[in-house]
Amino acid sequence: MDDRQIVKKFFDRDESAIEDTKKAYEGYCKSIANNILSDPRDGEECVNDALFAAWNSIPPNEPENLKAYIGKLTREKALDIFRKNNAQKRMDDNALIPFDELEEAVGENTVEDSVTSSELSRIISDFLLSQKEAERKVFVRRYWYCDSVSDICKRYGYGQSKVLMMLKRTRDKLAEHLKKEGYLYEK
Amino acid sequence: MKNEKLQSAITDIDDKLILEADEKKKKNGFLKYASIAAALALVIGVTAIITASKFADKTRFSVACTDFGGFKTVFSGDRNIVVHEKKEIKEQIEEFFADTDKNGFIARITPLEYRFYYDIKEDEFTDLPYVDGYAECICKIDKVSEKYNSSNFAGGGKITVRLDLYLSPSKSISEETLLDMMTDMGAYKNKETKTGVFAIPAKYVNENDFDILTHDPRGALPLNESFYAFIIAEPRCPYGFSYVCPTSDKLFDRLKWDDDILQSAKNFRAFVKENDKSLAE
Repeated sequence: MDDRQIVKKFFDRDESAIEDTKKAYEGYCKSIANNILSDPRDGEECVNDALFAAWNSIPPNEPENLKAYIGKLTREKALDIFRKNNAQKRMDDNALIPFDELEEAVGENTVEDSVTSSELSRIISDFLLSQKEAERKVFVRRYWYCDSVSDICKRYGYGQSKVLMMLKRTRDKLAEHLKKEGYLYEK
Repeated sequence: MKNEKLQSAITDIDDKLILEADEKKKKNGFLKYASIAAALALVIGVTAIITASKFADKTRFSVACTDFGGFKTVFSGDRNIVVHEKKEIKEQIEEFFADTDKNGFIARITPLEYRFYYDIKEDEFTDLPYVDGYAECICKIDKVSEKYNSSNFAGGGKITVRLDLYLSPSKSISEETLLDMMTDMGAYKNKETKTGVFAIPAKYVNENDFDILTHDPRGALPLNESFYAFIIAEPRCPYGFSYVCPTSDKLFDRLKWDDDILQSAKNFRAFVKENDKSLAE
């Protein structure tokens, strides 16, 4: 069953849409969740939450790409659980690393309050789309999928130092871009 | 996680980016071994006097030209190597042609070959400066000395102007260490000016005579002819390896060109011919 048919089922309020989505993208969603969350049980919960969120948001939303849509919901839910675990000090320190890296690039700067999250997304997307394909893929693997550096090395056949350097350069360029465009300010 | 807005924004990036990064894995890994294998290939030194062409800055300058292999192999395709980076190299070449005001060159730093030669762990290079770009100059080579067009020594090159790019201090490897590495390679070094000639035995080098020492792996550079060369920084070496793409038809035809790169090479030759009719053969 293709994505369009599944989305139609959501619109028809046909509950099998959830099962179909799970069947198509459970593995994908789990890999996203498990990269962020150290406990597979949390990952499982996260995927279920994402499916439920899809049920509640389609309609009115009509995703052009269901895979990306459900992936985003999964990531969002995983971050929620991550924050909750963080508050309760139950988290795995390793899971923090990609977030720390990215936030380190931003440094002590703060995103302008007036900038909405969706606007910031657009700015970041535009920035990434202007980068070389290899660099943006590595960036997205690390900071969207939260892959480990060694997984990225395996995926693309790069050496570790190359990946680390690509990440650093793109992070620095992104921070510079955000500052230059006035979306970050120093505290 | 302090900056939640940033994380939310990352979550919601363009679908294209998310899907693109989840595309099937590309094959690789071969490149690493190919580079090392190519490092052992015989290279032939050629010396030349080089002047900046009218397309670049008029200032005389020198560039690094030596080789551990890999890039030229990709470029000429004669070892039938297919690497994912080829497209990127091609793009870089095209970008270069789009901006002919550049002079000198810079190279991207990746330490693969140096790990091979010096048994250095990758991590030790993590903080080395990373300089983007490949090719930065079109040069007119006024003459090539027969003396150096032999296979008596492997590769070689001279760095003067741009060496500082590669010797920026890093946390893990000091400038001193890098200079020592150059010495290990048979390099002439001048710590004051950060210049050096490496891989060519000192007896062949009179640095006052030449702005560039380079080589062609096939020993095919035309002697005593003027020709333009397209110098490309080797992308996987801290010191900026390079390759000469001669514009001589005779030589051009003798080389086996990879299809993907062929068009870029043709563009280059057309570019040179368009800009210097006297050179066209």
